[in-house]
Amino acid sequence: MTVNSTSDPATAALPPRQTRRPQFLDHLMRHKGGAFGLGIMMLFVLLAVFGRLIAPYDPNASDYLSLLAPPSGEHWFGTDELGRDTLSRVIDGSRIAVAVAFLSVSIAMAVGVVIGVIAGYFGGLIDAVLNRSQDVLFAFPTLLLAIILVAVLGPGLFNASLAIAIVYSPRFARMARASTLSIQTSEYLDAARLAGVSTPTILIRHILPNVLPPVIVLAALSMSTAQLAYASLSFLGLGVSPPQADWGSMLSKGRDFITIAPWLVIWPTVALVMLMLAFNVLGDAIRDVLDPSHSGAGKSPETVV
Amino acid sequence: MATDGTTPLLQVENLKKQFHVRMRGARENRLLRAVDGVSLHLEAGETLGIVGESGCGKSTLARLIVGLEGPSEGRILIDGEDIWAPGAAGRARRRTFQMVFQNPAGSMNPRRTVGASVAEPLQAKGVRNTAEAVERMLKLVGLDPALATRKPHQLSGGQQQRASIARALIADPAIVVHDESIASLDISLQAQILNLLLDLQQDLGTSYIFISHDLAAVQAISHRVIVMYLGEIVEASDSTAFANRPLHPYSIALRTATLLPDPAHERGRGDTALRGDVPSPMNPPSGCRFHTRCPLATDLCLQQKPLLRDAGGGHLVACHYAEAETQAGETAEEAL
Amino acid sequence: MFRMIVTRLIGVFFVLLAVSALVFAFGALIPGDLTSVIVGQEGATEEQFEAVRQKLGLDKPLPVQYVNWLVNALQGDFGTSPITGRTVATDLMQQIPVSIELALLTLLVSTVIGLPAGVIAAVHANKRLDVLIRMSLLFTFSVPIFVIGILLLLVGSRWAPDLFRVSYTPWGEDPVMHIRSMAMPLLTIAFPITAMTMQMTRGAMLEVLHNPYIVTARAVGVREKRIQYLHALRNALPPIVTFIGFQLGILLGGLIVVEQIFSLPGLGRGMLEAINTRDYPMVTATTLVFATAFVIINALVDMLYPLLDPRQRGR
Repeated sequence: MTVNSTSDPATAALPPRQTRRPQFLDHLMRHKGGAFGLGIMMLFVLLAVFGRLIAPYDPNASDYLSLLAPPSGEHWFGTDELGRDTLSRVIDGSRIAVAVAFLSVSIAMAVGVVIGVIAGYFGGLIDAVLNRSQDVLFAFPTLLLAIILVAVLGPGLFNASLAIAIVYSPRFARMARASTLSIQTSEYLDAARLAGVSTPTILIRHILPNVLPPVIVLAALSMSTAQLAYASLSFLGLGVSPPQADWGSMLSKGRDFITIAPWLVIWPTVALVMLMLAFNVLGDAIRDVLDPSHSGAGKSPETVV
Repeated sequence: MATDGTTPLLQVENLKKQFHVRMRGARENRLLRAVDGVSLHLEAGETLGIVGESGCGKSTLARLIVGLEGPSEGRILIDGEDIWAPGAAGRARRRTFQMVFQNPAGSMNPRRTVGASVAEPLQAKGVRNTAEAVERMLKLVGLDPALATRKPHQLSGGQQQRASIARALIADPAIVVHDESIASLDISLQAQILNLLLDLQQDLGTSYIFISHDLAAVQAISHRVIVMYLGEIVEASDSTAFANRPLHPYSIALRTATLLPDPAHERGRGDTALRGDVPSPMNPPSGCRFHTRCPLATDLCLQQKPLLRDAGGGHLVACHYAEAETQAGETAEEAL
Repeated sequence: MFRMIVTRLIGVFFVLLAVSALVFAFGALIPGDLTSVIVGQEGATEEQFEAVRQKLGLDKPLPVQYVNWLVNALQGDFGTSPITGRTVATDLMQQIPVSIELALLTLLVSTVIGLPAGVIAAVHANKRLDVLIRMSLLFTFSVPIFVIGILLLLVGSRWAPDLFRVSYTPWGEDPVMHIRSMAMPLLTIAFPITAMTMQMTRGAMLEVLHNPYIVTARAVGVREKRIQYLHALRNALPPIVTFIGFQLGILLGGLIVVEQIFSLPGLGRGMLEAINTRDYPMVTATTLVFATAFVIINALVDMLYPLLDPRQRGR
């Protein structure tokens, strides 16, 4: 594109148009990790959604003839002390894991972004108050806080997800606030105010699109730790109640039979680790695509215990 | 000047804006008097130029006038009514203004299309179908309407500024404030934009407040000129009188510092360079604020602050010695 | 310097106050009316109900309850557990030492192993050994502690039955058994924390090692070991020390999990049991102890920082 100051600027040639959406997915698929992570995650999502149809057995049905049976042609992953097929239970447990990951991160994102944007945009006292309270929340060790919250709310899938969401929301708030502050002084905000655009519209139309990309990256990366956090909670007995299959509680139960039936412990662990890896890899890929300037500084040890 | 007794479109009365600034490590806040008692008026269809160096408060004044910030003291009236009246009435009055910013892409969100940004003021008014209006405005400012689907960074600086102008005018404001709107463009583009603005003013009858440090541009486009220094007005007159005979020593220095393609002027420039730097607005000099740099300064200037007085024909100036200087200046030029 | 310590302490005091209020509020929110737990399900009469409520002080407004609770707590009286029948303080006294021992041992092990390991890793940065170690580190960070615990159980059940299936024995009873019973829990938490310490040390050391004054020291002829430990490490310490404070959070969470896995009678397991049995006084007490420990230790570490980094002192 040649810029000639004496020619009519209106007729200068322009680069061809590119739409945004397909471009993102396109890049993601091309990224090595992205394809892999996306693939495994989709696998788990499919298992989660269609698990009940795919699983060879009803996860809660007991086969009294094969209690604690080792892996065999009939039961690929063996059975537990009540004769339930481990493979089916692992598949069923993925429902919970995936559901909690999405639920808790979505809530954390929604709450965190709202708080962060409001604090950043309006500043002053509102910012001070919101920031301080987020800091207090942030200062607590993750698992401890989650346990306390579940103690207050009572165990269960939704409550556990809510507890995790509350623990994670300060991160999103902090990020959203930083993004908001970075464009706070932009002239187009002034122009919009001058044009008479209402404040909520300004927030949604101008602030939000700037806040979302890093937040989405954080969300993708958080799903991995959120899933693990839930597994810890359910391991401690604070998750869904039996007989619903659930990786954490399966591990807890499996502890008692570890010498005679190690498969009860091995397969849920494998599933857990695989899902965690998938989310991690996917999150890294999303981050690389959305923010290529980010240097691969390595994993942060800030996972939930 | 309201010669026929009707209320001017815009009246600014004794406007003041102060900021509390805390310097690092200092105990108390200092007071920054960005705008310190400015009064002016604007008629429909005319252009008021405001000149001054950076730090004189003209950007703050711009933001105060359009209502982006509230004044510490003073009033801003549209058709005689206060723009800061509470409620819907005040809001409606504040919407009579639009602004074109210094940064050409300034008023446009880099993530939205040019068309969307240009349409925004109209959308805010509740108009649903903005496509036609956007097309019309883009053509009016000399842009290909196809540019509406591009993002701001895909346009050149000149195109961006034209788009900003289109955006400013689309909702038919009564007054558009230009805050150094051509400063970042190169000279030929500046000339084009100035011509565009003049044409648009003829077609649409919009009033402008044109703020700049560039005296030449201000004189080219304004009906009346105001000179600002450290938050105050030091001179005000219609632009022809000002171009012929600036009275205030500061205005004279500004003018001689302006590069003009006129050999006589360039030769006669001599050493009228101002002494020293602009004092800090937090600690303005006593008496006449300009006295620290003024070649004509005397003890009187240090003690007594000169008020704006009429030096003849509606030409206002705030200086104790204004006419003396110009006479001396004229004799110097005649001598060449 | 002195002024800073005092301000810090005042700050800590207020934080603790806020934390205690928060903990009390949480406790008060736990569903399940304490009174009914005590009185029992069978049709108690209204008067009996009221009598118990009054005795527990539950009929007074919440803020008053809070103050009473706090005052008592400061004197060491956390009330009586309706579930176990013992005073909460008794249980706490038994549980806290266990947890403290585990925590201290973990810190000791992780520092003694992690610090030198990190130094070595930094010195041999990017060579094969380092890369190998870093890969395995990645794993230990990412995986939750209870998974590590279970894996260790697996391994232990096969290859080290001596360490496996040993229930907790206090030091006083049988030192050997005690060590055996603590070995696996210790290993479980120490694993990720050592890994983190090592990673942190390596990172901090790498930054410091590239500083000009290190190169100068080498050029002048100072012995390598001396350089590494005296010069480099000392300057790398501040971030490492603050990191230890950060580890604290993970440590606390880890304690709870590990005590549960290995059935250690510590504070973490006490808290979990209390939650599951709706033992309201116990829950608030244990949470308070945890939170207080966290806040105080963090504050101590914060105050330690200027001591280690002279540049920070003039604030």
